[in-house]
Amino acid sequence: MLELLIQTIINGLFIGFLFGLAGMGLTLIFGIMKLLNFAQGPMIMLGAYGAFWVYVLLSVDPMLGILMTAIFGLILGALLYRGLLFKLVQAPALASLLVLFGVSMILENTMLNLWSPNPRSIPVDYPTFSFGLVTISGARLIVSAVAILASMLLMVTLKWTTFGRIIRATVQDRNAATLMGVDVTNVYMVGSSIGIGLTLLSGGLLALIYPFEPFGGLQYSLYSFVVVVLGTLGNPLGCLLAGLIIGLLHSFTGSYWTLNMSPAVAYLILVLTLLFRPGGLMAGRD
Amino acid sequence: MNDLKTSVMGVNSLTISLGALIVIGTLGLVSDTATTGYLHAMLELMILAYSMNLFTGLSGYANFGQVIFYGLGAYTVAVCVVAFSAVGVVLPTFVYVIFAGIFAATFALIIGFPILRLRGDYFAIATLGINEAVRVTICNTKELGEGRGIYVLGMVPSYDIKMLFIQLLIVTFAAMIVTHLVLKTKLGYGLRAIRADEDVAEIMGVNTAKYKSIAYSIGAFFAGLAGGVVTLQFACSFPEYLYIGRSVDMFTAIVLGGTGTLLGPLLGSIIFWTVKDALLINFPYFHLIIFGIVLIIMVLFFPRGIMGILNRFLSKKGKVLE
Repeated sequence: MLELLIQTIINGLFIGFLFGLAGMGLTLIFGIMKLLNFAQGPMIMLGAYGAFWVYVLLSVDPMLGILMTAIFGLILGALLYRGLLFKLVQAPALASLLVLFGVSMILENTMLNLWSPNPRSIPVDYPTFSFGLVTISGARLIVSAVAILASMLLMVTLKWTTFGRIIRATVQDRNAATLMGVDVTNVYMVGSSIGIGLTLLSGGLLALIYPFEPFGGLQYSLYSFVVVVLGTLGNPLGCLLAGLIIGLLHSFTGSYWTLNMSPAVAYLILVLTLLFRPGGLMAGRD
Repeated sequence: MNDLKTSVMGVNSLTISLGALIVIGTLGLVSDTATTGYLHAMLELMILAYSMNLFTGLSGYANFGQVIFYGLGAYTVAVCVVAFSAVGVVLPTFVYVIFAGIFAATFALIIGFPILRLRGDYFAIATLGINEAVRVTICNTKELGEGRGIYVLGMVPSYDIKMLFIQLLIVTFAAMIVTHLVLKTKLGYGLRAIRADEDVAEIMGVNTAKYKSIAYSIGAFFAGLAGGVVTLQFACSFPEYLYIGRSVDMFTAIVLGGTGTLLGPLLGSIIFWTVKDALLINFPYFHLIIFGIVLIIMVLFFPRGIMGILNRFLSKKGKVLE
């Protein structure tokens, strides 16, 4: 019993860091541009495919592939902002959601055409560690380490650098930031770039643990939505915390009930959050 | 706007809509089964587009969970048929369909309480979340057949597309009339005020909570009816009926035609359906990519849809259609 409990907690934390990282891309874009990235699911899958193809075609270590995918995500984010997202910053919610839904249709079906609907996975053989009661897979350990590292890097950047201060100023009040001499358009572009970069990174990491397919993104984007709402939209630290909570819930539902019900439990949390604490856990805190 | 006539050559939008419905109906009833099936599917989409239009089109709330009412309608009919045949009662099929509409509307009233207080992105997330929550729950409930669905084969009159087509015609007719009435009454003006600016609308005395709730439920009612008919058509109800891709079809149809209008859903669903079918046949693997692009272009450059383009020309002649 104790064994199962400890194993459940550890697995929950591992997957939680990944949820947190995925949510962070979403929350950053929302915080900066007030734009909900409805195309996040397919972007996560794109990250997974990116890591997969680098691994298969160049036969390098998957971690290098994931890094390259994340860099590709940074470029993609900037291009997407220049090409499309800049039009949505001031648009009503319905319009921007529909456009991003269009983007997600295009992405999903392009992936389907290029890479077939068959689920794929990256076959990694990282060692597995056993510590008395618990067993930890090396892949999961690496994935959470990278997720923690990336989240910490983002938070340190936001907190202690000039660039981070500029971003936070824009999040707080874009008009005031403009008046203080901040080039808001640039901030938007960089925000979109980092946000989508993080999303693709989380997709690449996901590919190390789970199989993926072109339409598999929906469930992860729904988890991300739950995570960002629970952790207060636009708040990276809250997002990480909420990611851990949802990860633990996911793992506990799997161990003690059935994994199939895990999404339903997550959405229940979402609805309860929206009902009783619509601002999320970190509401009113900066 | 007062000097604009809401009719063209003495024909107003309602007459055009009903005329189009009569044409579709006659065509469907006299032609072969394949054509009737084609038009049947088109009408189904049209009803769903009208149901989406009543709330989302008029109030501007991004509802990504409209398909839930369609799915719940389908399940209501399946459950009712199984339950009634177990005790040996056989009701006319349209009674089951009405049950489906009522159940969907009731469900909308109940979930509307919490989620209609949310706005913008939060509302979109909540509807998507509830949609998936219900789907996952159905997929994991033994009594509802889990992933396999509920089969009612042999418990309802065997496959008769013409009879189902007539049912859909009646539902579409009702949806058109109701949309027309909503547009002409305080409810419609209130909803459009909410779309323009909800806070201002509230201050000006629009009972926003009540209006949103009513429109949401009426929309759900029609989606439920369409879902009820689909169970009769395929003699089963699947969790697939709650797949959110269907909500996107509805969105595309009303955005294409023009949101918040009477003719918009009609035009949108006819064009969407014919184009989708043609693309599906010619480019089976690319049609959704093309639709993604069309959706983006419509939203960005023609936010009022085909009706907007049409009215831009008509208003020069002092006329406008709704």
